[in-house]
Amino acid sequence: MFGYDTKSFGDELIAVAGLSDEQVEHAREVWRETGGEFGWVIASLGYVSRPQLYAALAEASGLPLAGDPERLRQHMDPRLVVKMTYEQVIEHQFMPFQLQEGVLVILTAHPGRAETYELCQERFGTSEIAELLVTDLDLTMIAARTFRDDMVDMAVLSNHRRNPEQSASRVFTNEQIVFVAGIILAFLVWLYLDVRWSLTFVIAVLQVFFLTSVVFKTVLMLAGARHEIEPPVDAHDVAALHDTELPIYSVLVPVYREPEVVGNLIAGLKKIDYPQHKLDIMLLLEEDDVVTLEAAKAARPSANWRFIIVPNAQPRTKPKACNYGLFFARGEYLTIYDAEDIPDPTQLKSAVVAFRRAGPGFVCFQAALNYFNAAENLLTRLFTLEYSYWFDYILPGLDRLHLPIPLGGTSNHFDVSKLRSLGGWDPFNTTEDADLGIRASAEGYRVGILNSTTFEEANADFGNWIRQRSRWIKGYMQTWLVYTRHPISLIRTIGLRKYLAFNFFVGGTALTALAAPPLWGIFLLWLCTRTRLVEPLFPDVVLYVAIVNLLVGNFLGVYLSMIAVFRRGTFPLLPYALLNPVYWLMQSIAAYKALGQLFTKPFFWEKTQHGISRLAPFRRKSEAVRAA
Amino acid sequence: MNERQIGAHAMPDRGRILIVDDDPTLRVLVRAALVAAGFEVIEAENGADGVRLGAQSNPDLIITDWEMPVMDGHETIRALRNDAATATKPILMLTTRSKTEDIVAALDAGAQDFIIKPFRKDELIARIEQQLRWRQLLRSDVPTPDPAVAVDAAAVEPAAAPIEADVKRPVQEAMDRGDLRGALDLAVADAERAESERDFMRAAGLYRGGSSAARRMNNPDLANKLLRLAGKMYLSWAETARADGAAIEEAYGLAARMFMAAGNLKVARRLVERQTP
Repeated sequence: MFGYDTKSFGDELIAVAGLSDEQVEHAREVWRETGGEFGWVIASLGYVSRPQLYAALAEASGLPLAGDPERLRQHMDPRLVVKMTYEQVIEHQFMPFQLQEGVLVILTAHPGRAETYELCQERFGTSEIAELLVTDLDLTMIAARTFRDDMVDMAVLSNHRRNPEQSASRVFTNEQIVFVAGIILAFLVWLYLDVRWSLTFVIAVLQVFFLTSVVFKTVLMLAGARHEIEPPVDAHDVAALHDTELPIYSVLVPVYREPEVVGNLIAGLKKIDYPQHKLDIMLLLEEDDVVTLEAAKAARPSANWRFIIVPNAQPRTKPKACNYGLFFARGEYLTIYDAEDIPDPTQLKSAVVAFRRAGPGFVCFQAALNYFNAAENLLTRLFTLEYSYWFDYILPGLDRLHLPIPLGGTSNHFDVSKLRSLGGWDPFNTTEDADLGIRASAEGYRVGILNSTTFEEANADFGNWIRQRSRWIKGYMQTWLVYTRHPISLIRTIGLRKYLAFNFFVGGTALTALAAPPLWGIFLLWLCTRTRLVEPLFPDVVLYVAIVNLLVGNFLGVYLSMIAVFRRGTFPLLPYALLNPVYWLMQSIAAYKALGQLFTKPFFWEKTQHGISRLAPFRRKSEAVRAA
Repeated sequence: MNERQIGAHAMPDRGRILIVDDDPTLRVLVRAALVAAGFEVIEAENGADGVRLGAQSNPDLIITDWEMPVMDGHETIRALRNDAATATKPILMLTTRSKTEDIVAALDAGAQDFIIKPFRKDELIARIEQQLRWRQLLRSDVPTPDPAVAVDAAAVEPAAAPIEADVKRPVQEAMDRGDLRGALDLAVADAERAESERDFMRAAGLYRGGSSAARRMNNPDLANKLLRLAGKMYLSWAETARADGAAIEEAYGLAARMFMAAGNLKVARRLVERQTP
């Protein structure tokens, strides 16, 4: 990490921090088992504070340690700074300060690195370099403040700049508007000329679509079930890993106004089975969120934690924060967790195994998500059934059939360099995760499924659930619109099979939820009034398909979600699967809300309130007060 | 109001809040939320009463409505700011207007923050707590210059901007009161009168001082804005010093430094190019 005289630095650190014999022995043991630099191992174990760490480094290296980064920044020579990019500053951990009489003064958090000297020679034409030591956090802050506008711009627009056609910043293209308007117009003309057959046609198309959709999901479920027989990464694989060979792993944790969770979050991530000094944990905080920053500082996490302050700029969304965090990631791999998440402790190691075993085409492995508060109420039970069905069967099914996989919101494990080359997340898409999965596929990458679980908090409140779901469905609509802009070229890239699967899965999810209420409405109208009015709309063939959908389709829908309990053995949830039609109706309500927002405020991020579960491991103070 | 809230009302320990609003329902709502959170609450039903009560009761924070009879929110804030007793109190504006220009108007009038009605209780409390915390930080946060850096910095410190005592004093006083916006107004008014090199340097110096204060108050947007204004002052100087090559170079160099510090490297890059033709 520091590229400096390792031995004297380690000794210095032990002296500066006054470590006990047991602490030194433990640190040596960890160091022997996991490798790396001794000083950084001690710091990551939380035995020393950052100032102590850098004071020791200053002693060992004989360099002056500078504080007050804001003052330093004011005196940097802009003629030198403009020759650097933020990528270089972050990668090499230094900033040029001044050039005086042929001597280049640099601010560095990693003194003594040959790469730094080479870059300075190449950029500034001098090999006379004087180093001024600053802490890595100060250097991060200096870089973030100095390159602020560039970095904000890239965090928001990197995906758009890379390929505007893959950005949801534009909701509809002109071609799409013309195409849809043409279809609507043609239909209206037909409706005018022949009411009966035009409506019959629409109903027939929807019925066939529903039927195909159910069959497709059944096939996926069956394919996904095969995972039970062939788990891709097992405990032996994880045990066979040597800690010394593990790469640095970055973990992004976006938080906003959640001071209460910080302590538990730090404790929680300590339980991860991964050498702490190889974990690069970044807490992503919004600039105006002083409360959480204070709480985080007060919790004094070990030196491998960094607080990344995301600058105030619109859109203020999780994908923008994650893009910003990605700039600072040191890891070879990276994952995202929410503050409340409880990941399987071996998840990161499983991901390393999965990446090493998979071919170079893999950009991401998605772990399964499930809920720790299933038993809280009816809604959380239904939600858990849905998640089990989705993450335990459907996504593995897509994986098995090599189809595009929309990612879930957290616990997706990325290859950092490939993620960067994909342009990161799209801050204009309200399901940036799903969009990224599809983009990866459209660019010829693959997404895999990891048989490891992260437990999250299920939304336990109806209104909150509707808001969250409407955001998800709106995001699916955005994603579908983005990847139907150039269907022919996309089919050429990924093939017809994947293209159809994407349409059924992403477009179909939204369409099913939108189309269900009118069809159910017609059925209920007929059931209650026995009116003959709808009969002409259901000629024999359409009627048979409709009956099959009504009986077999709905049965299968319920049955599939019953099967979903098998993998985890959560059998008490089984009877609740019968209530699935109610859940579908809720999805439809959310879908109509999403459709409205797609036109009125497409980028609006419906925030989901977390930490409201009675069963949450830790709750927000404000909510706890309300409950009391 | 239940007994727990009344109990909390009787034993306030978190601070005293003055609510100025003509709508009794809203006052009851806000009061209930604040009392439950442990604040002491005083109410005024119009701006004039608010100003009077503000002067008498020494509140820690004032919440005021925007649209009111007698004095509207804007006038109320001006009056509160002009009264020595309430000049430095944090003010939150409650408004039904969510358009940017209305929010800017509220902030311009001297409010520290705004809340859009209908508001969430948690948000209201969080914003109040944040304001009070900043106040506390501001009182305790005295920056200590690092001696090692000070030596380095002194070597490259540009010719110190001559800051006239008569201009500096009111600005400094406003800053000391925590009235950053007032200080900014004074500095802008002074900069608008700038004509000579001396004036530009002085104005730039004021902006830089304001920027440091804004940074300490955790207001990076304002800090960067002030740095850009300082940069513009150095640019104006460069333009007036057409004949003097060395002065132009220095002025562009300083301007580039300001834009760099404000995080705008695009402009800094262009200025560096101009500095070294």
